[in-house]
Amino acid sequence: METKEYHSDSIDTMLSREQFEDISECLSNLAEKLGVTAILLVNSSGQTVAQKVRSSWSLDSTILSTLTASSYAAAKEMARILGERSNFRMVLHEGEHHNVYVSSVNRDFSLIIIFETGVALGMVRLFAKKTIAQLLSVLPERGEGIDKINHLFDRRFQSLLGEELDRTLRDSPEMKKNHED
Amino acid sequence: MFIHWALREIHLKIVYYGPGLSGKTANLQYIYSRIDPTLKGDLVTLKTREDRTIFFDFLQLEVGNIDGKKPKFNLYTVPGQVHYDLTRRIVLNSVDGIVFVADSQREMMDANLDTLLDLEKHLIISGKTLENFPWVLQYNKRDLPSAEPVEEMEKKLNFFGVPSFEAVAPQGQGVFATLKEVIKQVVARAHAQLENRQRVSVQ
Repeated sequence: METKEYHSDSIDTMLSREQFEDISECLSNLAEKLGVTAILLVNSSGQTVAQKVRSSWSLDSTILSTLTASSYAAAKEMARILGERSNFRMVLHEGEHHNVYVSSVNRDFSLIIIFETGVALGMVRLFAKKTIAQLLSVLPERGEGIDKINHLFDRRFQSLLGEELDRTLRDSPEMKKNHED
Repeated sequence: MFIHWALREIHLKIVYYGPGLSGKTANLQYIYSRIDPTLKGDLVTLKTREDRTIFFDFLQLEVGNIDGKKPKFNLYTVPGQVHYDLTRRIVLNSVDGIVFVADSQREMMDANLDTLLDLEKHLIISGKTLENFPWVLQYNKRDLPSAEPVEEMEKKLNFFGVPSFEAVAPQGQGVFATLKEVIKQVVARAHAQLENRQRVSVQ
């Protein structure tokens, strides 16, 4: 049998239900120990993988994850320009009421902790380090699990997606008329 | 692409790329203005005091469930000005598909080509190339009197024969057609790669 290598770069990460549950448990434990406002695990393109947010708090996690991942990527470039061999270990934003601590988990994921200014940063760093070690043992590798979704984007999916896109992305009736004119 | 199987979510990242003031932000603004509020998030814009994009614009939109899966499209723009080269590279991280927004004005043809070559340079750094990556061309500002004929723009920019669209982004002309096509390209490529992967694994 001939051995062939095949590279698939369309799908960066696939997260299974079991992995999601393990990750959620790690974040819950950390939230409980620190009593923090919110904890998010985000991937390098800014998508929220898992989160624990205090129930009394309203948070747009989509935008927060996007902004954090981008600012972390910018910090990585800063580190490179300064001749650092790897990214800064953490990024900290200090606010009047809340601080935001961001730390790299590995090249694909970052941990964001939002905590009130009364919580000691040292304690946050200590427990974050332990959580990151736990997360590293449960996070998926690139390409892991992709063999389970070989038919995810089959012709039927593509056709249904086309119909949904047509339904969602519709010009106004006036616009249609202008195009026809 | 990120697949969150537990939540049945499929996340795609689409980046609008092009020279400064070609209309990348205008595309997102039109999309934002026309989409059902339940299917979109806020439009985030990171601008300079002069109203130019300094980092990126961002908009997440969804469509309905497809066989129990929820596709989510994360749309970004890059800053077009030449000196934001590094910022563009950051925004391109983990990109799944690109809309290249070209400015149709005759005097912008060199800037269009330079920016397309700049895009290729960034893609190559991350192991991709325009030759085999999902992307589409949008010829924007077709309403301006100095607009170059489309045939000329095709010759100058579309050397890989990708789908191209004429547009007047602030009025919405061509905006949705462009977005639909790039999404279809991304999904079709993912499907082809998964099929090839399966074929190789059974050999």
